[in-house]
Amino acid sequence: MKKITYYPGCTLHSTAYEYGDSTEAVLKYLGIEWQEIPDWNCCGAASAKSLNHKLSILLPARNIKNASTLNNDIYVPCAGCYNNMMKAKRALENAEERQNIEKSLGKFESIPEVYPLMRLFTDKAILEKLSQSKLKTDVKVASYYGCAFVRPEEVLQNENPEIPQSIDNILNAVGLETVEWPLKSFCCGGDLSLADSSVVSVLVEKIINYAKEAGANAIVTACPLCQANLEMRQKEPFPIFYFTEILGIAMGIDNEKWWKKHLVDPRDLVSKIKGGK
Amino acid sequence: MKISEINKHTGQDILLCYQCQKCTATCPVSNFMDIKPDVVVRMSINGKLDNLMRSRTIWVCTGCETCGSRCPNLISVGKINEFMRQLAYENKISPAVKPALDIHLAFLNSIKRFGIVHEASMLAEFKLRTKDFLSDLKLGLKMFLKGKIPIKPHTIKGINEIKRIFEEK
Amino acid sequence: MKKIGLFICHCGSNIAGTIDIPEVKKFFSEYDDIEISDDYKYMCSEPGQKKLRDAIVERGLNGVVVACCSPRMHEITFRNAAVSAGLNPYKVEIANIREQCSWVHQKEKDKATKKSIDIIKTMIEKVKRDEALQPIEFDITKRALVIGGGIAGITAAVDIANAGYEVVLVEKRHSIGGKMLELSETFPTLDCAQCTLTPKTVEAGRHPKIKLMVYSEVEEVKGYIGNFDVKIRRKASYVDWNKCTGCGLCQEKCPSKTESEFDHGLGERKAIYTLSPQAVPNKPIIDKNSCRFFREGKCRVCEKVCPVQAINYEMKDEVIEEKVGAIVVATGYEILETEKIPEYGYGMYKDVIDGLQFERLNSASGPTAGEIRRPSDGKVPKEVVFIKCVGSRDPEKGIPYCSRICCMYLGKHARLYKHKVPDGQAYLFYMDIRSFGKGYEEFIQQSMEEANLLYIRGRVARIMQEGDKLVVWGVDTLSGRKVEIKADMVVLGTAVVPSKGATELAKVLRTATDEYGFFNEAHIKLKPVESMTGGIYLAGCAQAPKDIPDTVAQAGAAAAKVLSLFGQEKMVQEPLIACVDTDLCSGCGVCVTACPFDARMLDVDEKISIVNEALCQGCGACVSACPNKACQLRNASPKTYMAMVDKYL
Ligand SMILES: Cc1cc2nc3c(=O)[nH]c(=O)nc-3n(C[C@H](O)[C@H](O)[C@H](O)COP(=O)(O)OP(=O)(O)OC[C@H]3O[C@@H](n4cnc5c(N)ncnc54)[C@H](O)[C@@H]3O)c2cc1C
Ligand code: SF4
Ligand code: SF4
Ligand code: SF4
Ligand code: SF4
Repeated sequence: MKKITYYPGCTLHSTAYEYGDSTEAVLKYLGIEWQEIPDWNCCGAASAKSLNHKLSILLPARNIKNASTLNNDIYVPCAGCYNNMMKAKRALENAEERQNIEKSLGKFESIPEVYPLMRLFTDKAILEKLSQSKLKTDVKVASYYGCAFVRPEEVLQNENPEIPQSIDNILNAVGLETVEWPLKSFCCGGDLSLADSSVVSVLVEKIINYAKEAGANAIVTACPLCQANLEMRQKEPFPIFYFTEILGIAMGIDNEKWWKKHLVDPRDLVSKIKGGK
Repeated sequence: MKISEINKHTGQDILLCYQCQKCTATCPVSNFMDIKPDVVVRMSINGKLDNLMRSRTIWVCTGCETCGSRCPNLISVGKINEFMRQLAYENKISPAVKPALDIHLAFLNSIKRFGIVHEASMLAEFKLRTKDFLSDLKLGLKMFLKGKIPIKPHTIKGINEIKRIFEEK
Repeated sequence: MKKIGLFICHCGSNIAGTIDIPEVKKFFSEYDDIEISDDYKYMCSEPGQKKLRDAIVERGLNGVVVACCSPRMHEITFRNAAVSAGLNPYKVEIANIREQCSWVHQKEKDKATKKSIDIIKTMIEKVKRDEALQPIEFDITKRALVIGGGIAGITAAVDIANAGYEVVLVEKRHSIGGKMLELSETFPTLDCAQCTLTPKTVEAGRHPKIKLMVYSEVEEVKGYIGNFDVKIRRKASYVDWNKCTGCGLCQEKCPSKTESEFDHGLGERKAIYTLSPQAVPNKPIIDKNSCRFFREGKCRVCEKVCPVQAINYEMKDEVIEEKVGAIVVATGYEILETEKIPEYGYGMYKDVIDGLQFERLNSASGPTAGEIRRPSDGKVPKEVVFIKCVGSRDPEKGIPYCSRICCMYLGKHARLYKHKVPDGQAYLFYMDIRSFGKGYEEFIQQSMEEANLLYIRGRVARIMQEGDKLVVWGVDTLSGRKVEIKADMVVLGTAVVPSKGATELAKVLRTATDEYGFFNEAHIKLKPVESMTGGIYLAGCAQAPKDIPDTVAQAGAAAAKVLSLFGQEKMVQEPLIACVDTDLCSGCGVCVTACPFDARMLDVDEKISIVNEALCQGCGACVSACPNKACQLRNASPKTYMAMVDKYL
């Protein structure tokens, strides 16, 4: 049985409860064991790096250090957290920077690997397992990755930044058709959502229009910041799912609680995905 | 500041820029910037950092890094903007987009207090800082009613270590 | 008795400004074995050389040391001077007191003077031990091999053959002509590419002195300048070309279709096919991967319809050996796989095409019979965007250099497009317009005027499909505004890269390629057609991206180099090569494997190793490998070097 270290980040226990809960349900279903990083802290999100470089490295570095005691790879659901943690990891890989970090946090025994949560499911064996649960539906969705999983280069792993594929592969495995569309990794402006919503609305509208144009009935993301932003700043109701929620539907373990948390009620579409017309 | 220092902080060589402006064409928010991404590079080369620190651009930049991933010379304007934001904050320059700074400060204060973010008190502080209580009011209420914003904050055990990190920075 | 002459050069003030020459001269005037110690302002000048010649004759010198600049500069000058005075040239040595002394120690004059004395002392020890050597002469095989049958290879082959020498022309594909065969019309004159090319291909095909080997590749090359042994693999075509009349019946009836490489995926071809209607030779091959018989074991239609029974499914590859004296490499180029720039959607959007695809669309023999119709739905595109520098000048995703031809061919494309679609609009995104050749700037200017081309300075950020349009996000750097064009088709001016397999071929030829895989010239300014290896010359895009005029010029130059080699009666080679001390050699054979030029072999009877004098380049690899110190380079034995070092210490 596979064991992983899990870093939920602040949102998965609060604003993105449905992402957290569906992730745990799916992991349980697949028999994957997870442990949260002991006593983890907030990675600093967009704010630490905006105001102070050192802070933006030390906060996620503390999480890496706490995780290193568990000796498993770290999987991170949120794109923002993943991005910050990867940058801290890259800093730790540089001897001089590592010294500086260790001055503040003490010695690191080891540095675990860091992956986005979706990478867990693109593993060949798991993809095969997923394909045992097949959805029968003509609903089509657009997979959306946003920025922080694929940019900058130093955080990119196994993905084409212009045409990423992981979420598509996962959804296709459970029989959900995804459309190929050009804005998969276009920025939704999430970090600006509260500070300047006028800018963000323009970006979100563009994304949703393109997804619709490509023939999608919904967008599926892997990032709580993107998901919240796409729901908050859209004009006409267009459902935005987490990919783990779709997996939950396919496995028959979805939970009414998830749908109630959405700002845009997806329940009509959920029943269509389940096979209704 | 010397160009070499900007290069060191941003991990790239801005002198390689040959003004193709692919960054500006690429940037999702360049329409909302007062100084376009390619000009940010030029101004960094010419030492016009003061203008940059006072610009809207550095606060509007979402840090999406699309510029960096498409630039033929691997120059990320986002990294320059990030560095300028840090410099502006350090030098207490009043930001062209004030709410952007307010939200970061509210956010960091929350981390400093609890080790993680507590949305309710963070948003309250943000609203106090901006003195704008009306915008997004309905949205906030909806999130609250959906139980997306927990009322009780949780504090991590290692909060003292977090406080120390904040003091050291 | 040794009678050595020492001549110290001032090199103006280059040496004399730092080194105390009278002091050095005086030091050696009383030195063992020195017959004369002299100096002069410029030893390399005619009066300087005369001093040397006169001293040899008048004083009966049997060795000379010239203390001057690097031996790379004037060793040959002074050796020739010695020869004309009757002294063996290998008894002249250079003591380098400029590059290795005066230039690097300008601030320490005393030390420099001492050091120059030391350097001269060591060279005196060398001259004392130098033997008189005779240059090695051997015969030249006056036949040439040309690799690559593009316009470069054809030109070189015809030029050499016209001078009366035999040429083996090896081409990978099954017809010659190269990329030019795929082009429609060519800048700067817009004449039809086929019409300019076919007279050349036909001439090469029919020339009595040219042995055409198409569908073949060079597999092994041994030997050295003047005498190469080459193995060429002729791939099985499954059609007996001696019988085949080129009637084309098989192609017509073959039931298997596949994407045509020649049309760059825009059209189809059969499993049995010729490259193009004007192909030379005009004989088909069967492509095993798409042939129904080879895949499924059933079919044999071509065999049935062929009126002369030319089909032979049993045919095997053949390896043919040839002896040649010189080789011209003309393997041309490829264009960068545009998938490397994913933001432009090449391979994803059908109507984003590259330059060679546009050439095929515009070509009368192409998939649309020369009408400009876009690949997705066959509609005539009304707005076409051309993008320059795709992958070129892009150190991150592509290559850092300028590909040199795309500025011109995209200008040409836009103009040709307007000729055929007068109510269409062409947009060209550019970084610079590099119209460097004769008549090129005029061509671009005229295109702008006549065809209303809209040049926009800036790089495109992203191309996206929106309905049946391609949305192009770009910027106009001159006004600082973003632009968005809804286009029907996009043509990418993709970077020029070396042909596939160039680096592997370079290994076979034992010559060098640059960091990108283009063949390296021996000197970028003074030896642009010579490769790093003697007897191997370069032509066309194999060396670097270039247009047809430059390609043809370089091919002519390469042919001239081959001819000047063939014009010599005998090859003359420096005798400074390896030799074997037979008393020490144990016949272990380490040197045989160490030699990169295949110049060593074992004499089985005598149980010693021998040196093939024609092949040895004097590189010294065997010398350092030999465990018995039996391998030595002439005039550079360990004894000599120990004596030199001793003197220095
Ligand atoms: C879209 C486009 C448009 C162009 N338009 C023009 C124009 O209008 N005017 C102009 O002057 N130039 C134009 N050019 C440039 C022109 O194509 C080149 O200058 C010319 O083709 C170079 O000739 P070459 O013989 O060096 O190479 P190639 O034409 O590439 O020929 C090389 C030959 O060598 C063969 N070969 C490769 N490797 C091996 C091997 N290992 N063994 C045996 N054979 C091998 C290949 O099959 C090929 O036949 C254009 C180029 C492009 C891409
Ligand atoms: S994309 Fe890069 S090279 Fe081009 S203008 Fe922007 S920073 Fe300069
Ligand atoms: S990182 Fe900033 S400057 Fe660069 S493309 Fe994104 S928003 Fe624009
Ligand atoms: S055997 Fe059939 S498929 Fe193969 S080349 Fe001949 S006709 Fe075509
Ligand atoms: S020739 Fe023109 S289009 Fe081609 S790489 Fe050079 S500048 Fe760019």
